[in-house]
Amino acid sequence: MIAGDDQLRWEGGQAVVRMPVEIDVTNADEIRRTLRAAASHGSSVLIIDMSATTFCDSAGVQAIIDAYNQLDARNRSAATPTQLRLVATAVRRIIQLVGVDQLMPVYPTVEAALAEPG
Amino acid sequence: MAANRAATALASIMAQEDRVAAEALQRSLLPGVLPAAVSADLAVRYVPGAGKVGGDWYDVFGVSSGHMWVVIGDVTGSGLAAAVIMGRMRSALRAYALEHDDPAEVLARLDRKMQHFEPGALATVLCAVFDPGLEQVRMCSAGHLPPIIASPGCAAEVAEIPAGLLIGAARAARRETVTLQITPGSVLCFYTDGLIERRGQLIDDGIARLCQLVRVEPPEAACAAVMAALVGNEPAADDIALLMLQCLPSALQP
Repeated sequence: MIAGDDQLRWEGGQAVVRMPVEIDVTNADEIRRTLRAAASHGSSVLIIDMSATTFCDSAGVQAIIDAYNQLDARNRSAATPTQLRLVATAVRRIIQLVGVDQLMPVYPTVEAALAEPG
Repeated sequence: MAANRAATALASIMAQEDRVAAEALQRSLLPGVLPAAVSADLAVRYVPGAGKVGGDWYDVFGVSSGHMWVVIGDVTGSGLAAAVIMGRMRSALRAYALEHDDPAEVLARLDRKMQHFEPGALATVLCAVFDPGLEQVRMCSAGHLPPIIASPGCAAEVAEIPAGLLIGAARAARRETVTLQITPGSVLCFYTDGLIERRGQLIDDGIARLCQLVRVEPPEAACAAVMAALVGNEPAADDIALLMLQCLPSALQP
């Protein structure tokens, strides 16, 4: 599956970006671009939805960290900051092992991520 | 020797043979010997992934306080670019280790250095600092996979250390050092993700499988057993670095 504009959807004022089943060096650049575009919308919440993802290597982790840093820089000057949230099941442990859960909260489902008060 | 290898690397770069250059650089940076006067046994393996050398490395060195450092790391990406960043991280870490005995402090400094001079680069790194008597070890992980420890008379276990954010990711990451006691004779297994990560398999299952394979036995035999079971003759998709260390009981000290 290739990430593209169709991977972004809106739930109220919250943006949800759906990640592919496998993330590696072959699609990480595309994912990085998709996440950057989603991060530039200035939504109150941006959810990276990895609920369908079963494989994510370091290139995928790099794309997520890139989105975090972009939002972190943007939030310093933005009137309404964007909260980054992550949904992960099969790759949750990898996210935990590389410490990315220190940068953003991780939820088991998109519903749980959407329900969290801003 | 190192100069010869560096010269080889440079010549290859000029010939645009990145793969050869990266491999020469990589090999020149992987030690295979323990510091003198340490009563331990060491065995290592390094396998480049898919014919392309990457940024995996390990390092073992002593410092004047008598402590021994074991370091293992993995720079994101592959080829010459990753190998060059790996070399810089390795030297910076060695320099900081001469100044500080706390692995969390050393990793914090390394992180700051990387974010300043190599923005965008990411790496996982694990540092283990052994007391001169090898009775305890202080560890800090920057997003690296936890080591496996097999102690005499016990099933091997995954070392309980906090995950820690990987190097180069973001400012002000929390770094925490934990101290573990070592039973004489224990085998410690350090590795990179290429050894255990497989598509369609949960990473915890890969770690559990490795845990079943690590036993109290001489490191060379332990490395051979793990490589045979997890890698075999298949070409590796990703780089693999593996380091086994056995802390010898005093009766076995040379």
